[in-house]
Amino acid sequence: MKKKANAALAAQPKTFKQRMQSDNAVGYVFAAPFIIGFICLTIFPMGLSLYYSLTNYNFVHADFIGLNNYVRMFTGDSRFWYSLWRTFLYVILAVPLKLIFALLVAFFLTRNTKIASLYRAVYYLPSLVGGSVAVALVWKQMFARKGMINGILGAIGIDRLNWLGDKNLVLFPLALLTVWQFGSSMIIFAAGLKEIPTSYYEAAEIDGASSVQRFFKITLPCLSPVILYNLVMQTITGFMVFTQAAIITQGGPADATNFIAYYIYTQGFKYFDMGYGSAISWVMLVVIAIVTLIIFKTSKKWVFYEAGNDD
Amino acid sequence: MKAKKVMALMMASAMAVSMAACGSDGGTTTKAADETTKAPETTKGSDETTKAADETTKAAEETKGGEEGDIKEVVFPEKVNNGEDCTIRFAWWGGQTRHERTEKVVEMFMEKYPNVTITTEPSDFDGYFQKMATLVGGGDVWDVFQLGNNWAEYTDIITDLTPYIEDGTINTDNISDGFLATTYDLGKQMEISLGTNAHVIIYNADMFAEAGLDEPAENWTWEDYEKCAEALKEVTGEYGSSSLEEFYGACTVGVPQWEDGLNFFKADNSGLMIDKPDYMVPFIEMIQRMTESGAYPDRGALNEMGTTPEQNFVATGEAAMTWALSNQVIAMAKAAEENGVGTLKIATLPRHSADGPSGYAVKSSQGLAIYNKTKYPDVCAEFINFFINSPEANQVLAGERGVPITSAVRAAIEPSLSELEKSVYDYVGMVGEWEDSKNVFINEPSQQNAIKDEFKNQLDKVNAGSITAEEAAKNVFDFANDAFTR
Repeated sequence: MKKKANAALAAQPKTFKQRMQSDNAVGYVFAAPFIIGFICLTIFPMGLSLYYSLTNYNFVHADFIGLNNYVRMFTGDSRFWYSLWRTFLYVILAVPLKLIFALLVAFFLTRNTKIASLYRAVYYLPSLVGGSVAVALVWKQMFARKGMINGILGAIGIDRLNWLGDKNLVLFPLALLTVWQFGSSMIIFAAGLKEIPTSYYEAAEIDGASSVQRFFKITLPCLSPVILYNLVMQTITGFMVFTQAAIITQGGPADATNFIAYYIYTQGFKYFDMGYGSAISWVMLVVIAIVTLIIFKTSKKWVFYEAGNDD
Repeated sequence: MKAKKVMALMMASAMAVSMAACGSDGGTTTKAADETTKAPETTKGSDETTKAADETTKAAEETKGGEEGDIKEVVFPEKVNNGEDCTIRFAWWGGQTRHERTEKVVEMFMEKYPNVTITTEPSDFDGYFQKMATLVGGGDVWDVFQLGNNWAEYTDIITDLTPYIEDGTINTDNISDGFLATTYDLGKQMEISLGTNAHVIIYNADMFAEAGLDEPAENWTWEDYEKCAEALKEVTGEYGSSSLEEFYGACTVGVPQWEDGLNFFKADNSGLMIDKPDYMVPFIEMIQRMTESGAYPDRGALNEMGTTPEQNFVATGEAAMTWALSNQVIAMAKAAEENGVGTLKIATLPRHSADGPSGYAVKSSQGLAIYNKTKYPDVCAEFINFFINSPEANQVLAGERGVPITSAVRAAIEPSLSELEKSVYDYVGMVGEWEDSKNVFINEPSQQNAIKDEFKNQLDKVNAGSITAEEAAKNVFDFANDAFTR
């Protein structure tokens, strides 16, 4: 239908008005804001950073130095490898915790009452403010030497812990800040939970399945596509962790929180080695792509897609 | 009889040694005598640096007050930019005290020249250079901005101020050539210095009294410092020492303390002057011991402390001593007074050995530079002129950025100086007079930031017990050499 119309239009010379009224033109016009933004704010900077990664760009001049930045990264920069390792640790710690937490809260808030939606809104709040500098600063105070957390520990008779000064402990407060922002995953889980037909549960109940069994045998499998989606999205966000490292610990102690995004930033904006920073960000892109790929490959084993229609 | 004589002699010499260690006068006299004998060999380092340092010293001597030379009156123009409206952007870093005073001066300038609007962008030190990096990248830097001695990185965007000095837009009649030379480099007048400063130890005199400690002597050593810190920690329960400039202490100041004329970096920014990492080891070990005993904050605690003088643990009463710059003394003391934590006083930096070199010199704390793509370079130059020369403006600024470089301003604000401010002025004058400070380089290669961070990491690892001080020093040494070969 559409094709025929287009062919007919193409046959005769068109006025501007006619051109603008064609389906394609309307489509492009409506998509234009996005396309322009995508080209100017994503494609162009990405291309530029790929070029810079082959130079020694320092904000003032950029000389082409080939693959030197990449060679340096893989052969001579132990900070980079350590940074990558710590980022992995952080993701492995923070992402599963966050998903489990989000799923549990979503599960307990599935009942369709007014109070449940209020709770849902309340629990979503941290996600709105959690990425901000202000909350990071609050976190820094809470986990300070004489902060609230140590105060509580003291009250129940546990010695103060050096949360932000001990490299073996420091990942926990930072991961906790990420976990606290479970709201968006929770909303997606909640939507997913509602999609599971109640008839399954009724049938299971009649068969005498306990609530734990129902959760593991019905809820989890039916929800697995949603879990996959959340897992992928949160893993990607996890690798890009920056605010906590920049505000709370400044990469320390002993580079323990020198996450890769923060390392890129340090190279670029502190050492003025923008070329090297760009090179690291491209390697980071590849690393995230590989991790995502691995998750997708394994998903065949555990994600359960219902055959046919839902109902 | 003979044995008695030997005994007496030994006791006498022991007394002399202890006096040299305690009394500041004894120590410096010996040192000065040493310097005289060494004088013919002081040709180490590049000639240019020595010359510049000479001039700095001369200039610093002037700050001692007394003979100020002829003070010429500075006449400000009736109008700038022909009275036409214009807007310039002005940025600086600093703490709350500086922000308030600088804003006031900006208002004074705008009142004097109503056609000029100045938009201000104050920030803290770290934020400042982050913001600046993005602005340099975007080609849209502030018209007039504060800059330290790290101009080598920014030379491509800085206007040479020489023409403005020559045509009198920036009046330098009351500024000695030596002071101008502190900010002249790479063939350009990079900036006009807003004041000179020197490294200093700030200590809480009340805490010293509480611990029953004598106030530090001029030539005290790091060993003395550590002992004081431990004693202060024992008695007060707070940190004996707040942040030390760890990298400077082990490297750029620490190395010159070993041997007159030896420096960490080469004068021409081309690499390291030291040929072995051993120089850094004692300082790293000291930090390690103090951190372990709790006399010195660990990285977590140091991170909790902000970077402005007002946030220093000494100002909040959580520590007894800290390493600072002489121009930060006033702000820190003011904050300490507001917090009611005691009286702050200043002392020299401790040395590697009581009769060894000091390891530091008087330098420009910061200056004002002009962006080379600004639309109104003349207005910016007029603003700098006002900022450095106006007695009224400097009554407000009160030397908070360091000892002012124009003799007229120094004379104008001298009567209103507090006891502490006077001691800071005297201190900077004294450091400028030290013979050995001429052989200390104050250049900052662009690799310094990365090396500094590496040093911090290695120090953290030492504190965590995962490597030894020797290994850390070697790693820093290798990293720094590597950084210069890229």
